[in-house]
Order: sequence, then structure tokens, then C-alpha cells
Amino acid sequence: MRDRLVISERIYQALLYLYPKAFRMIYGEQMRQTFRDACRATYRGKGVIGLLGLWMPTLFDLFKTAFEERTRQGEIAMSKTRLIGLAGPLTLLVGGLWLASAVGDAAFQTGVVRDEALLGLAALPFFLSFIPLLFALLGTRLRFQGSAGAAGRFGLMLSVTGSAGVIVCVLASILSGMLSQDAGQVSWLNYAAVVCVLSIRIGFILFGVDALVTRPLPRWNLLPLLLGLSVLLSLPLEWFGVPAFLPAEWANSFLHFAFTGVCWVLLGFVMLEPGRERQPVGVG
Amino acid sequence: MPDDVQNLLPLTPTVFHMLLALADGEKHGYGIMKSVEDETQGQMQIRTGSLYGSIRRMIEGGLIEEKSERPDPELDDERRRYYGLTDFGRRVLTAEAERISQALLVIQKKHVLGGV
Repeated sequence: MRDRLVISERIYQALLYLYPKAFRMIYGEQMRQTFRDACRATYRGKGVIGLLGLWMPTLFDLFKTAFEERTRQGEIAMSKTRLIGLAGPLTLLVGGLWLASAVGDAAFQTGVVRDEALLGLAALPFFLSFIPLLFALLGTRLRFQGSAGAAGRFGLMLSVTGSAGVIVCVLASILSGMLSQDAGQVSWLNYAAVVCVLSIRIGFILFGVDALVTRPLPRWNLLPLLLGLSVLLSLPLEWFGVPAFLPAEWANSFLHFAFTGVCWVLLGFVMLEPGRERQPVGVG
Repeated sequence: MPDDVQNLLPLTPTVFHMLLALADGEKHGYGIMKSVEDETQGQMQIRTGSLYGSIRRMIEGGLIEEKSERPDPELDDERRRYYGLTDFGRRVLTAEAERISQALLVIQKKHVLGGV
């Protein structure tokens, strides 16, 4: 129990660096204590699942309020308008990185590349993609906050939280790996990362279903749902095996990465187009 | 310090419930968070980032202040900070409560809650 709480607290403490220094100097220690108290109470009552449940909204809140504090103090010149404008290009970049992952993965699976040392390099685009994805999703959330329905807005918030969670899990895995010799000790972080990745997909399924009704995108409103459901593409292959007409076992992950990558690229192109989103009334 | 209570009304739900949490005494951050959650039967949950962002704004607005005296120094972590209502904050809370009470009278008069 203690290890999980200590790691949880350390990750939160590290994330506090996202806040401006002046704010952190006054409230950083208090925030750490408050989060620690919340973690302990949640863990006592609901265990690891409760702890993960606490982390998800906390992460979203942390990124949102850190951005607000930095904007308020003039440290971020990036306005909401600029972030919305960047959502399209960043989504394109995410698509490119996923396509690169597809190619890299296929190169190893087919034996074209055999050097084990390059395996990590091939996985790098996939892990790096979550950084532009976080900002792309933030921009998407801001762009459609007035035109998407409640389910769509919640879905996008879930996706933002999920992508932030993946970044935290990867950083925590690296940190834990450095601190601990026991590899089993970090396995719960892997589960947390899977939950976060699934949150992105579930978020996009919600946004996708909502988009079919509210039609917030200039066109191709089916894309978000396809993106959310693309994770299911690999499930039949996992469960029932790869059919004979597909090249080999590597087709599974290649199809998944490539299909998702193409969806991100197409969504990026759509997001480049100016929309006619209406803004919510009375939001201060 | 701003002195026009009416200009601040209506309060946002977060600010109102945080002021309400401090109405019966000083509390530290987690105490405020827990109090708001309990008093709204879990309908409102303030996360740590939003909590301290609101605390900063409410201090700047003169609604609350950090207290130097601690409820029980021996039983508590000395690094904790306690917050309490200022006189102005209490007047704002009272004005908001009166506004809500008046709305509640109308709600009762028009039987909005069905049979009440």
C-alpha cells in the first residue's frame, strides 16, 4: 500500500512543476498534502481502482488549472484561439507518428530489421505521439465546447485525461524502473497505462456517437467514431487468429496502427478547416 | 478590498460551497474539499488544482484569509495552512444565502418541487 501511495504522491509532486513558480511556491506544498490526504482516504475505502478513479479527474483538473495559472501570469502566450488552431496540425502529426509506428512494428515483425537495440527506437514514435495528442485533444475540446453535445464534451475530456495519463504512466514507469530493481513492482503502472489508452478510445467513441448527432466537424463526422472503434479492429484477430488471406501474424498490429494513423491524419485534415462553432453563453 | 457585495452575486457554485464550508470554522484545503463533498452529498467534488486556484482568487477578492492560529497545533502537521472567512466574505455568503432563500420561497409558492 505504502509504495503505491508514495509513488502516487511523487508523481503528483513532479506534475506540480507544470504550475508557474510563483503559484507553486505559495500553494505547492499544500496541494501535495491535500492530494496525499485524498489518496489515503480513497485507497483505504476503494483500493487501487479507487486510486485510479481519483487520478483520472485530478489529472484533467491539474492540466487545466496549470494552463489557466500560466496564462493568467502571462507565462503562456498561447491563447485558446491558438491552441484551437494548432489542433489540426498536431492531429496530423499524431497520425504521422502512428503510421511510423506501423512501419517500424512491421519491420520487426517481418524480420526486415533484426537488431534488438533498434526495437525501442521503433516504439518511440508511438510513445512520443501522446505529447502532441494531449495538446491536439485540448484544442479539439476547446473548439467543440460550444457545438458538441454533453456526451461529446465528456468524451473529449476523457480522452484528454487519458492521454495525460499515458504520459504520466510512461514517466512513472521510467522513474520507478530507475528506483526499483523489482520489475513486478511497476506492473500496476502498466495496467494504469492500458486504462488510460482505453479512456482515449472510449472518449472518442462517446465523441463519435455525439458527432453523428450534433455534426460539429465541417465534414466526415464518422471519423471520431472510427477512431474510437479502431481498437476493436484487432480484437477479432486476437481472439480468432489471423485469416489465411492476411499476410502473417504481424498484420494484426500493423493494421491497428496503420488504420488508426490514417484516421488521425484524416481527422487532422478536417480540423484544418475553419468551423462555425458557436460558443457557449455565459461561460466566464 | 472590494466592498460592493451585490456586484459579486450570484456566486459560482464552487465559491458558494467553499464559503459555506468555512462558515462553521477554519479549515485546511482537504477539510474544505471534504466538507463540500459531504455537504452536497457527493454532487460536487472539487479537485486539488481547482481548489487552490479558487483559494487564490478568493484571497485576492478578500473573501477568505489564511489564519495564523491553528485549531490544535499538537495534533496537526505544522506545514498545513488554515483558511477562514473574512468579514467581507461572511457578508457575501449571507447575501448569497438570502438570494437563494428568496428563490426558494418562489419555488415553494409555485409548487415547483411537486406537492411541496
